[in-house]
Amino acid sequence: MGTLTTVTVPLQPDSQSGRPPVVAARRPGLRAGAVSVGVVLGSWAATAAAAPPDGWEHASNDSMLVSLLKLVGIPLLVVAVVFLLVYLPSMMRRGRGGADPATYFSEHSEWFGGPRTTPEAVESGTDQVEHKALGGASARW
Amino acid sequence: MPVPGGEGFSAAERQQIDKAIRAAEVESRFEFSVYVGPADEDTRDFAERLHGELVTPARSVLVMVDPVARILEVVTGEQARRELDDNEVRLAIAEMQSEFATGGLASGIVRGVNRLAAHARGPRTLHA
Repeated sequence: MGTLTTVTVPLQPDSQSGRPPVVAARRPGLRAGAVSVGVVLGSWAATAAAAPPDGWEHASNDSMLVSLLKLVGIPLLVVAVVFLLVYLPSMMRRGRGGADPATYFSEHSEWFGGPRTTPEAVESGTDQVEHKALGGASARW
Repeated sequence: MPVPGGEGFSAAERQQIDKAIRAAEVESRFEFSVYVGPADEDTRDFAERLHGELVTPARSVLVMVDPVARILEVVTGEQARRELDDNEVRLAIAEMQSEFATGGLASGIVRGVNRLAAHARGPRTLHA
């Protein structure tokens, strides 16, 4: 069994890039300075303003309430009108009781491709039918 | 006493039923009629009387629906019965029942008429 001993290896700073260590330490400072100069110059440019030409009309801006009404109220009004145009016909039909046709057919009848006589004449049962040759089926639901 | 309301079928539903009947007549060469309304107590006898009043009963297929009593009758004439037997009618009726049970009165009639016509047409023969 061998014994463990501490070994110290001396490191050479920035030996692979070839730059002197003083230049590498200054780089963050140079970057921060460039950014600061850009921000200061940009803020100076933003503060520059020109007065409107004298020939322009001096229109006063709307108040916040009026602006909100225009930006929110008009779209809401358009949405409400479209909603009513879409759903109002079906709502009116439902109000008239058209949702359940079964209630209507309790007192009314309707023929599709029916006979030339009226249903009332048929229901009177004056004509007797020969049932022997007829087919078909019945059901309830 | 039931309260009458609405207009029965909408215009679109009437058009669908009319279209189904026309297509069924073209497909099967039989006459199809649909009666929707109240029936007598003996619904089968009532349906057969309605069928007898059609223009050509022997070549006609009548579908009678009483939505209030929830009764469905299909009557086939003598000639129509040769192509459309009672078992095939029962298959169409089962399809209509399932549609009626979900509240689709017009769609059930359309499906039933389509099914009856498909059975009445019979298999297509390649050699006459």
